Amino acid sequence: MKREELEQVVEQALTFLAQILPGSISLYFPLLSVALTWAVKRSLAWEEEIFAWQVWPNPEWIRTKSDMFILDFFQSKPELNSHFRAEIDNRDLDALRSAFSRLYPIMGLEDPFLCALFYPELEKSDLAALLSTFDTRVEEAKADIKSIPERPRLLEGLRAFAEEAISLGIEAMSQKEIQKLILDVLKRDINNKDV
Amino acid sequence: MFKKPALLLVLTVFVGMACVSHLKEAKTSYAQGQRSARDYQTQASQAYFQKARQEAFQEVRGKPSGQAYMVKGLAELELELWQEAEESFLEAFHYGFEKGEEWAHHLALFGLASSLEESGLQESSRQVYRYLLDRSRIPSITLLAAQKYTESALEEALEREEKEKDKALDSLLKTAQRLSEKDMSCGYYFYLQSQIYGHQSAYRQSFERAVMARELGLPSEAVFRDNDNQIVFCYRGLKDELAPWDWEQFLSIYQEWMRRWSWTDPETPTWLKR
Repeated sequence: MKREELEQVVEQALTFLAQILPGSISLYFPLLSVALTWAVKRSLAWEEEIFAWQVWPNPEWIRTKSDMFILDFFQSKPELNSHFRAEIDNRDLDALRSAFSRLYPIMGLEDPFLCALFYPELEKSDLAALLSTFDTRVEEAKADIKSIPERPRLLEGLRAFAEEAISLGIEAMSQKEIQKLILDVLKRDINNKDV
Repeated sequence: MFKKPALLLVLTVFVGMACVSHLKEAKTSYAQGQRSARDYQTQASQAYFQKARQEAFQEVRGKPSGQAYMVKGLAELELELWQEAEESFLEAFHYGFEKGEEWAHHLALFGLASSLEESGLQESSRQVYRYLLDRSRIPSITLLAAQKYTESALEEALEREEKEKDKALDSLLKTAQRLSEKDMSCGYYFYLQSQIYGHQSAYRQSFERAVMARELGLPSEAVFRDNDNQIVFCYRGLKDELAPWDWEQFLSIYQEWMRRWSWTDPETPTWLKR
């Protein structure tokens, strides 16, 4: 597997996204990540999974998770345990439930789109920033996706990108390595345009 | 001289065969769609249902029958074209398919329940979903009604006082168990039971239902992962709760499942980042 060839494939995908989603640079990284993740996993419902994140923060089934499950979620992850120490100690389930509906898809279910959308906050472990911007950014992403006039073309392009990346052996890379590769190319692309 | 009538005869036979094959094709595609849907291959199943609908449409255009309209309605149901499915079932009824009217009626009720829910009339919508999950003989309507009903009833139960809540959870569990008895192959019904047992802190039962749900399949990756998280949650709950000997016994069972699922440790499903 040659890194340069993979970078080229990512560059082509970025050019494609710039045509189809010109004003939504913030979506390029999540869309490419999610397309690759589900393709590498050979997901049978690839198309549905690409847009599955759109139910958050409030899918019906999440509102009914048990209190004990929610407490366990916050207690079992060290970064959450320290950030929510007071709420856990006081059994403040209203506060925990509200945070749970935003953090669970990312830190519990590892939704690849949301993980990529909040990549900077996760890298810095900045939970406060993640929580305070979650609703707005997810709503913006939903609106951007909804406004694409050619959704089938977007899916076609993402699929072509994923298939090419797989043919170059991307399956051998971890999710983190894949994300880093996409980010490197994206940053370079943005810097070149700035210059 | 005989050429023309012979050609006509051949054409008639050919057209006749084509009509037969439209219905046959429709049925075959519908069956393939169902098989794919059972394996949660959403894209493939939708393509098969589309094909089944097109073939059934060709059939009813040339040779309308109760059977053709029924297959058309069933395909439309799977494609969530509620209004079209309702009309097809009514047509099927007019052509002699006796259940057609009842099915159309159940679809109309499902539409009504969804509208009630959207306008905030939770209690009324819950009653209609309940009626449908008890009475409907259309599997996809039963499943959708079950999802809607249990989510809504669970949400309501959690708002009640402790004693009332326990009673409501018991009743909801019985409903979910009845659904499994009606369709043992539906993983989602076991997922629902696992969630309810989780509320009752019955970790062993919750674990067992979650294992069954996982083995039978779940409707989306998110629900599948949530079910895995429930398994891990039960594992941790039982670790705290069980006496050493019981724990050893449970652990050996748990390790068997881990091997089957290729989990490298008891709290890390394969999809989880390490």
